[in-house]
This record gives sequence, structure tokens and C-alpha cells, in this order.
Amino acid sequence: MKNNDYRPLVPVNPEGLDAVAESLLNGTNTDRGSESVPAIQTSERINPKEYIQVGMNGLHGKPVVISCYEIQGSNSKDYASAHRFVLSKGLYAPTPLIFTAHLKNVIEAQKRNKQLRYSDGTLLPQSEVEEIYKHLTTNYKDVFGGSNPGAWSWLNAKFIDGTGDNGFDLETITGMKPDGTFITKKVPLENKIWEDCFVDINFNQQGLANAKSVNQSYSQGNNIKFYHPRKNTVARFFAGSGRAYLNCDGYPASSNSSLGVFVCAEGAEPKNGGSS
Amino acid sequence: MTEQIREGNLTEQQKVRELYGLIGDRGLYVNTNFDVFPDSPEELSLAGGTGYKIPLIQENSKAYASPLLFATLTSLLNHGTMLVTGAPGIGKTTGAEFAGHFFTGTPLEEILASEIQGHPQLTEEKMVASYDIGKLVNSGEKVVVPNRFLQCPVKILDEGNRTPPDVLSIMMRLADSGKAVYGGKLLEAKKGPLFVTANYADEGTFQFTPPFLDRFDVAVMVTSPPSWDLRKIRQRGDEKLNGGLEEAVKIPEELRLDFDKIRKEIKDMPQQMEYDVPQMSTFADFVYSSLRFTEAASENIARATKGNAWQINQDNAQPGHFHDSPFTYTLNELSVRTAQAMPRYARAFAWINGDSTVTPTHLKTILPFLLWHKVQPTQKAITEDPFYANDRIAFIQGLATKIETDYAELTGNKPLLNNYAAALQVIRTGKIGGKEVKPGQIRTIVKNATDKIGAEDKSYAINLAHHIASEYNNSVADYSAGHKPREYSDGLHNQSNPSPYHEK
Repeated sequence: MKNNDYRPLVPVNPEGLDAVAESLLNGTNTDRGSESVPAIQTSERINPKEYIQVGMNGLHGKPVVISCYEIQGSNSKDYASAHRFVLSKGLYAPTPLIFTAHLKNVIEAQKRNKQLRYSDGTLLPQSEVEEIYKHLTTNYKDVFGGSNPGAWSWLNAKFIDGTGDNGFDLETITGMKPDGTFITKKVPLENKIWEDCFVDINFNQQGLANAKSVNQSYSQGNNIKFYHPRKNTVARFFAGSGRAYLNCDGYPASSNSSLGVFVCAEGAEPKNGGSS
Repeated sequence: MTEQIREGNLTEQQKVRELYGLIGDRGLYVNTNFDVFPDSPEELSLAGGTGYKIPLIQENSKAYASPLLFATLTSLLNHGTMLVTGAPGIGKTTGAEFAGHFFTGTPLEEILASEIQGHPQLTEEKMVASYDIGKLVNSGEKVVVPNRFLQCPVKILDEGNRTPPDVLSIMMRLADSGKAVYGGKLLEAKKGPLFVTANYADEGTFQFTPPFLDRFDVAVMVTSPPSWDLRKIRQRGDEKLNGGLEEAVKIPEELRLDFDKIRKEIKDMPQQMEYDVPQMSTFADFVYSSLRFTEAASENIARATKGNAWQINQDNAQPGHFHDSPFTYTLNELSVRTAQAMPRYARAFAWINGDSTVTPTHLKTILPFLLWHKVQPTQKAITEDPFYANDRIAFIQGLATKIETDYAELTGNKPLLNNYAAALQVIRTGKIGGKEVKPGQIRTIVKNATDKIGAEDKSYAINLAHHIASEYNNSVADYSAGHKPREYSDGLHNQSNPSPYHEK
């Protein structure tokens, strides 16, 4: 028998294989492959195949999942109405921190540098990663069936007078009282970019821009347009023809039939030995 | 007709697409029930929660109706074979006739004259050849005369399932090799497509056997055209009222095809590569390996295949260790014939779609039409989705998504892949970092890598571990037989040996 081929059955980066071989020879290789990722049992009933693990804790300190797309019924609402709508379902709108972490995950997954998992721990097929990537970075589709394709979503951030950078605080809606008023949390704003410009896919601990892009034109998957916060404006995310935006100068009273909300759910408290 | 067409400046690809459109424009084959989308369509849900979804093409993309698309691709390939199923009177045979005519250049009259109608008394003489009666009577000489069916580039067996299985065995050989035997003489059929149409089962039909179905590279379920297509069909004229279709079936001189050139262009379509590995073929091989394995057949990895599970009922077998792997959804595995057809049709599809490279997406798009007639779902699959009992296209689509998920998991599992590729590299080069390693050390690496890969607890990991062991066994067997040690070369891939990626 000859005719050996020795080529791997799937693409493998050839870099660093000598070191791996060395460790296999010496018995020092303890790497048994990827850890299995547990499902995130959310407190609210969601379809686990419609939510993606973000890999961080959410507003309430538990692992958070985010919807693949804006949810139906969340469009044509102003900032407050949109938040009421999702809170009434036991969900919440993503903060810029959660949303930009998710955006970065999707971009890395599209480049095959990372894997995305549904809420139940199973992997997203690459075709679904591509769908979501296109939705978040181009004018790919309008999930509400309208004429404005691309992801259009309110985020959970209002920029109000305060003690943070440029005299602003960041206000986040964390819940809703029975009378419909919001429970909010304020922290000093941390933001270094005070001009409207393209920024790298690299965000600070509040999910805002960290660095201006060297390339000041849109490069899909490499930068987005950032509109800096103004007084009493709110954050939104848009993907459209020719660019994607992190738009921190949105008017809370505006609404649009294509503007909806991505939503987040969090892991529940363990019950009867279950995992969260 | 555009200026470009009049001037005859079209590429073969453009000519094929012009002809494709012309068949619809002339009302020869009209069916806008599009079911093949190279880019995943947007799916619109119908209001009222009925569960029905309507696909909407992406902007700047294409959409095809599978019967005409695959009849076209089959006509362009050497000895392509296609099964066309569906209800009577909806254009199964005419679609094949027109596609065969336009895409092989064979006159329609010749196709019609050589077409065979399936029936229980169909004989070998009718299908393949007969003796020259004059010579047989006058001189007793047995001279074999191939019949028109064999000599026509477009071979159509209409209502094939009205033909008994023993007669169809002749067709099996023809489909496989383009050859037939009569009176001890080997006859070669003319290059071109073979279409077999089949109505749904009734009291006058026979069931096609799995080996017969496996001969078909591709199969389509023809649906009746939607009502809005009827107007266009009527526009072409009613041949029972007005006579023939002479004008409608004329092929413009400027659109005559160069088949050798087309086949070469399809064969030479480059694949998208990743780390020097062709992605489409790799995914095709992964599909093949994902359905091959079964725990029910044997504990010996060499015999744990579906093809070797013939003494047991897999649906009633003891549940195995892997409950949700793709292989648990099918009763049978894919043949080597199918493994070869997958990249061949993916190439042809990328070519007609006007793409510069062939990607796994091309294969995934057409996969349901290459597999639905061959792959049998398990009871588990049908329990999971009762529609799979009837809608085999949906079954394969669901199966392909499961396989793609496994593939994504595998290609994203860097530690597992590193162990696997590092072991392969050492077996191939006999070195680590340019330094020779002893045979015993190579063995240690293979054992440690196999142990770590095997611990992954995935059915695809078994395949990778088996691959390392096989390559190691093969290399050692070479050496033990007195051959010189291999000539080692630098780089990850050995280019000097024949590659499994070079399909016909």
C-alpha cells in the first residue's frame, strides 16, 4: 500500500504544529480539545435557537444571551415604548457594552476565529453566522418586511448631565415598575472619542468607541461609524448601505417602522441542582 | 437579441445562460416555482402563523427551478444521469427533451425518435441493440446493430418505473459507464445525458431498487407550474391546435455551444482554498464521512459502516453512544459514485452561476437534489419531523444543516485540529522542527494524538483518529515491505502523491 496523501481532512493552520508535536512526544500536551459549553437556562421562556451566547454577564450579573435579530413587534416605537415593550416580556434591550461585544463576536466568527453558540450551547452553522454578519454590517434585510434593510435597533443607553467625561452620565434601564416607570442606573460616562468618525471594532468597558480608525471610510467587519453622545440623546445601532453605525446621538422620541430592538435574556438562578 | 449576441462575442457560459433564459421566454419550459437559491433567500413568514414561508431572492443574486437547472447541468456533463419524478402531465419529459435539445445541440426529432417508453414488455433489443436480421437470415452472421437510443446523445427513458427491474439492470450499466453489452459485444453509448422519468407509484409501476437509484447523479421532483405560469405556457401556442414547435425550438446560430470547451471550463473551476486545502471537496468528504459511520454494525472501526449493517434493522438496534450525530438520521451511507458526483455538480453549478470559485455553499445549495433519492431517513428522523417521510428535499436540507454544524464545530476546535495535524506532519516528514525523530517516537506521537482526539467524544473525532492510524499503518507498512523510507519534503502538504481532491 502506498499512495499516502497525509493532507488533513479539514483545513488546519500549519503554524505551531512543531510545538504541538513536541508536546505530544513528551506527554506534556494536556489539551483535549474544546470545553463543552453549557446551555444557558434563561429565566424567561425563549426559543434557544433564536438567541446567541454573548460570553459575558448581563445587567443582572448572569450570563447573557442576545436575540439573533430584532424581535417582531418591537418596531415603530420610540425609545421609551420600545423598552416598555421588551421589558413587559421579561427581556431587555442590550446595552452598548453587550451589543458591541456581540458585534465583535459575530465579526470574529465570520472570519472563523471564534465560534458562536446558541443559548442551548449548540454551535451556529457557518451559514447562519454569515446571515447575521451580513445583517449587522450591510443593508442585507429588513426583518420587519419594510424598505430599510439592515439591522436597526435601539440600545439601552441615554446620555444625561452628570460627572463623567464631557459632563455626562450613562443611564441604563434595568427594569420597570408596575406603573410603567423605568428603574434606571446611572454611572459616569467614559468616552474618549468626541467627534463623528469611523472607529475600530474595539470598545471600552461601556461599549463605546475606543479608537478612531486609520481608514476613514467604511470597511465591512473592520470599522463602524461612531456618532458621539450629545445631551439627552440615546444610543442606537444601524447597518445600512455602505456602513454600520453606533449612533449615540439618537432622539428618544423618534420612531420608524424598520427600527426595532434586539433583546437580551439572562441565565436563571439554579433550581433543584440545575445549572445557570 | 442583444448586440453582443448578434456579434457572437459571448463566452460559453453566457451562451448557456442565454439559452436557459430562452427556454423560458419561448414558453418551452415555464415554472417559476424557484427552489434553488445560490445565496440563502430571505424567508417571509405568512401572516396568521400557518408556518409557511416564502423565499425571497437576495438582491443581485439568482434563483433557479431545479428541474431545468439540473437538466441543463446534466446535459453539459459527460454521461450525466438524472431522475425526474412527479405527477403525470406537468412537463417532466418535455423539460428533459428541451434541455437535451438546447444544451447538447441534438435535433429534437432525433431525441423524440430515440426516446424509449417504459412498459413491462420492454426488451433488451429495444433498449440497446439487435442483430442485423438480413445478415443473420442470409449468412447466419451475427452482426450487432446498436439502436437509436444508444446512439442518440440525449437518452430518455420515459416512465422508467413501468419497466421491470431485470430490464433496468441494462440501464444501470449504461448509466454507470456509458456502455452496454449485446450478444457479447461491448457497445459504447454516445456521450450525453441520460434522463429517466418516473410517475409516482400506481398499480402499473415497479419500485426502483436502491442500486438503480444510486446510479442517478441527481434527481428532481417536478411540481406543477403555479397558475400564473399557465398564461406564458399558452402563449407558446397549442401544438394540438396549431401544429408543431419548429420555430420555438430553433437554436440561434450565435448560441451554438462548444461542449469540449464547456466541460474543460467546468473541470478547471478553481476551488476556494484555506491553508492549502480545497474547501468544497473537503466539505463533500465531510458529508460522506458524516453519514458513513454506524455504531450498530460493529465495534471494529473498519467495519462500523452503514454498508456493513445489512444483518440488522438499524431502527430497532440498541441505542449507541452518539445520539444526535448526523449518521443517526440515515439508514444508508453514500456511495463512492455519489462522493464523485458532489464536487462535479458543485463545479458545474458554480460555473453556470457565473462564480469565479467553487465554495462549500455551492455544494450545500445543490446537495438535496444529489441525495434525496438515495438517502433513507431513520425512524428517528421522521419522528423528529413527520414531513421528512414525504418531503425528502427538506430532510436532506435539515441533515445538511446538522452536518454543517458539526463541520463548524470541528473547524473551530483548534486544539483538536492541532493534535491531528501535528501527528500527520510527523508521520509524513519524520521530523519535528527539522530534527529527525525515531520510529518509536513517531509511534508515541500517534498514540498520544489518537488518545487526545478520541477523548473528544464526537463521531467526527473518531474519523480523524482513524485517519491518523491509517496513515501511520500505511507508512510503516511501506517501510516494512522493504521499501526505502519516504522522500520527505518541506511544507505541510505532500504535492508529489496523487490527491484525493482531484476528481474526474
